[in-house]
Amino acid sequence: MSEFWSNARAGNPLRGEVVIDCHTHMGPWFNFSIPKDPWAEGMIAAMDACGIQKVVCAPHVAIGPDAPWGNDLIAEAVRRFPDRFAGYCTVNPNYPERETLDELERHITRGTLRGVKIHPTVHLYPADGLNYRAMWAFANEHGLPVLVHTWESDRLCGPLMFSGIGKEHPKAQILLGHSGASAVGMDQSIQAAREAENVHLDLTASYMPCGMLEVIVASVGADRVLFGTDVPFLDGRPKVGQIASARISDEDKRKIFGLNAKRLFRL
Amino acid sequence: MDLIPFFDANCMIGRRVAPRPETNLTTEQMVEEMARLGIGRALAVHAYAKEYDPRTGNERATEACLKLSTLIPCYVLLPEQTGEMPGGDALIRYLADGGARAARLYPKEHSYGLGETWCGGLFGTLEEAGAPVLIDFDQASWLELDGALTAHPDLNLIVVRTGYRVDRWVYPMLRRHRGLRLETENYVPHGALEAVTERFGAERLVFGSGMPVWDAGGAMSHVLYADVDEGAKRKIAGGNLEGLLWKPQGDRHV
Repeated sequence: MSEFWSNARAGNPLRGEVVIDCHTHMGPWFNFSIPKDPWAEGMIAAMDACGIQKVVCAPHVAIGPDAPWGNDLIAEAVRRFPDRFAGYCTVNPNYPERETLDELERHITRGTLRGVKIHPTVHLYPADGLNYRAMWAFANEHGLPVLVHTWESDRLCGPLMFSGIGKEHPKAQILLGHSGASAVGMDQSIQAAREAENVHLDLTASYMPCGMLEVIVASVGADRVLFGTDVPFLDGRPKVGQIASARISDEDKRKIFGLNAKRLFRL
Repeated sequence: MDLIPFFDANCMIGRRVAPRPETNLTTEQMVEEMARLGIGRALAVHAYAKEYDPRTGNERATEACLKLSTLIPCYVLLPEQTGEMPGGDALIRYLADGGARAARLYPKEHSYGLGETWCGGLFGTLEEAGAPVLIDFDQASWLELDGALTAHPDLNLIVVRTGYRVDRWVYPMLRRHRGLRLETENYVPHGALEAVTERFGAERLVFGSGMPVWDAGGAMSHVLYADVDEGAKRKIAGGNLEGLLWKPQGDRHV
């Protein structure tokens, strides 16, 4: 039996492994209740329950109405808990390009954040739109991971859009958040990753079709797949079991659970 | 300590209309997957009962479950008014004869309402018999479920595959309706299992996986890593479902 599943099946946190969650948020969200503490301390308690060492985080308010405030919140969490939090600098394309450049300069060039987060669906702006031009150029110049919310066939952030963006910005490392979400979206994410080698699949989702992780790994290789949970938007613990129980090798699980994120985020 | 045993409230067997290749497991393959993961038993709906004809599917469920002791038939039912399905005592005999221990409804797919006009008799029969009924979240609205439980306060109703945006709807209903339970697969607000256990008791949560469409390992780790005591985990993983299963009453219904 897989060492990972053996531990999870016994209810034991994953120990002695690099476990890095590439997709988290922080704080409340407007359209549903989050029953447990959604702030740093509550997230750490949830991480400890299953053995997640570190998360890469973009607070909810950053993907919502106030990216600069959210960026400050995660920078503060990184300062308080440097072993448990890393952060994304979120940019909002509905505000002047000057704000985007200032935020990237403040938090990445001179700060501690490790990647960029964009949310085309919440911001109602396409990932290939002009207002993201400065962000993509910055990410390409600095070789940064960019976590993008993606959804099956979505006009703002459908996975297939990112093969072109990836080829245009070959040094940016594009993480397809949710891998397109549905099984068809995952098919589209696989296609995008096959077409652009800097496109990666983030497994964050509230569900996983049976056998789909095996398909993803067989299609793009375990080096291009990352563990993510969406905590505290979602409970992160199901995702641990989905990967731990998959019919793939423990070596591949190690890459997915943390080694890939460690490499991409230079953690 | 012994591994926590799992009893799955939400499995489907049989040939489906549009399976993806990776989810297209035979019943034997699904049982093998259950064994690999450590799911001891499962309530099984036959796909024909949802996607073709409930009576035919229910017969197939009974046949399959007679061959595989880890599976227990969960019959898909309809309101009795059209004559497609028995009602009253005949319905109870139908469930008993087929070995069914729970019922499942697909009101949206099968084109009827959950109100008293359509389901009053069906719910009354299941309520009196103590047979649990499972309804998928995408098959009904919270208002419909609220109405059904208000009219039938002793009905044991398990809402399947809810989501993470439901607590503002569901907490008032858990407070008001003692018969309401939530299946845990995809009920994934941050800390949801702990919060429901603290506020309403672990008895209100029932493990399900959604196999073979959905991944079962994640549904299991959700429970295994929950910050609740061992007893509560065991209830959620299988004890609650075990207690809810319909138990035919001697000769009366057999």
